[in-house]
Amino acid sequence: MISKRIVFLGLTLCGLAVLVTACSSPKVRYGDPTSAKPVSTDFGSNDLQQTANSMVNSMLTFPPIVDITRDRRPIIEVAKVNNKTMQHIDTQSITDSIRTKLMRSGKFRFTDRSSDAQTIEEIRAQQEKGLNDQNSAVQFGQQYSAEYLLVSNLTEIKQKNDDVVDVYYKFTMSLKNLRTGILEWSDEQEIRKTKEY
Amino acid sequence: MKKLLYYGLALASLILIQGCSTAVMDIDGGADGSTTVNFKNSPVDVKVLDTRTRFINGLLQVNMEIESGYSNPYRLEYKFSWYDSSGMEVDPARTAWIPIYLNGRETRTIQGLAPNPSAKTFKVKIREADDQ
Repeated sequence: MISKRIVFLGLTLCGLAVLVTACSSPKVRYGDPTSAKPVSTDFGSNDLQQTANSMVNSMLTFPPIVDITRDRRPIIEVAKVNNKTMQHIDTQSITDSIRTKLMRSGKFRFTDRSSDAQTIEEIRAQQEKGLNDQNSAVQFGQQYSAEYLLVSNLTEIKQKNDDVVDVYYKFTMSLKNLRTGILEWSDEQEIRKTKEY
Repeated sequence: MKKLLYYGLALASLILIQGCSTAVMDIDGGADGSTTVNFKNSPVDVKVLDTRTRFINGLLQVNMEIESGYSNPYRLEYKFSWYDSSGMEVDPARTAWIPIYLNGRETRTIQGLAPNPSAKTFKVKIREADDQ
């Protein structure tokens, strides 16, 4: 009778050991790209997604922006983010996400200065290589100009002592009317991350 | 005494299994503000107090007021999913989980905006954060 109980106890402990091992052994697997689990106090993927989401929602619901997008799709150029943090952050990702979300809302159109070199090369090739029908070849000076410029800053304030690291991020974005110079919209997204030892 | 030990071990196993899973609570809603809460055995302890919807420039906007059922701080994550008039998900897997920190019994409003004008209904998913 006693030996049966010892066997049962042994099996239960083995089961627990298997469970603990299953939950803690290192594995390679696909993760959720939308996960909000912070790994460090650095600016991470979820911070990027939160920022993009918040900025787009704010811009699309701001009454003057609702007015200018009601009957037409204004053209925007997205400026590079001024990264004023001490970290190396691929800020292009933030503006790419914001641009994608705004474009998918169907309310705006965008120009893209980052692909100007390839555009010039392609137009020159159409005109000069003798391969294209010149009636359908694109001419220089035909492109539309951006009416608005989306400018943004990312800053951080870091505080730490022996027990805690506290990092505060602030992302500020504004929409500038290129013709008048007026800022039509602006908003901030704040994120605070703490690490306790 | 030994029986007690076995029960304790069984309970510990259950806690370990629970610790490795993240159950999600769903709230389905329509453009008229009606909602249906599906707890689906989720441990999430929040109450939906009010849901308001409107179309702004053709985009469905949702404001949902939730209240924590805990008297201690509560770390949750939520995300919105959007569906068109035929029930197809709009821009699936594009919305991120957004962390939310609630103080004891605190009431907060979470807000979502549809990604484009085709969204007519929505679903809010809420789960406990991993470190909760």
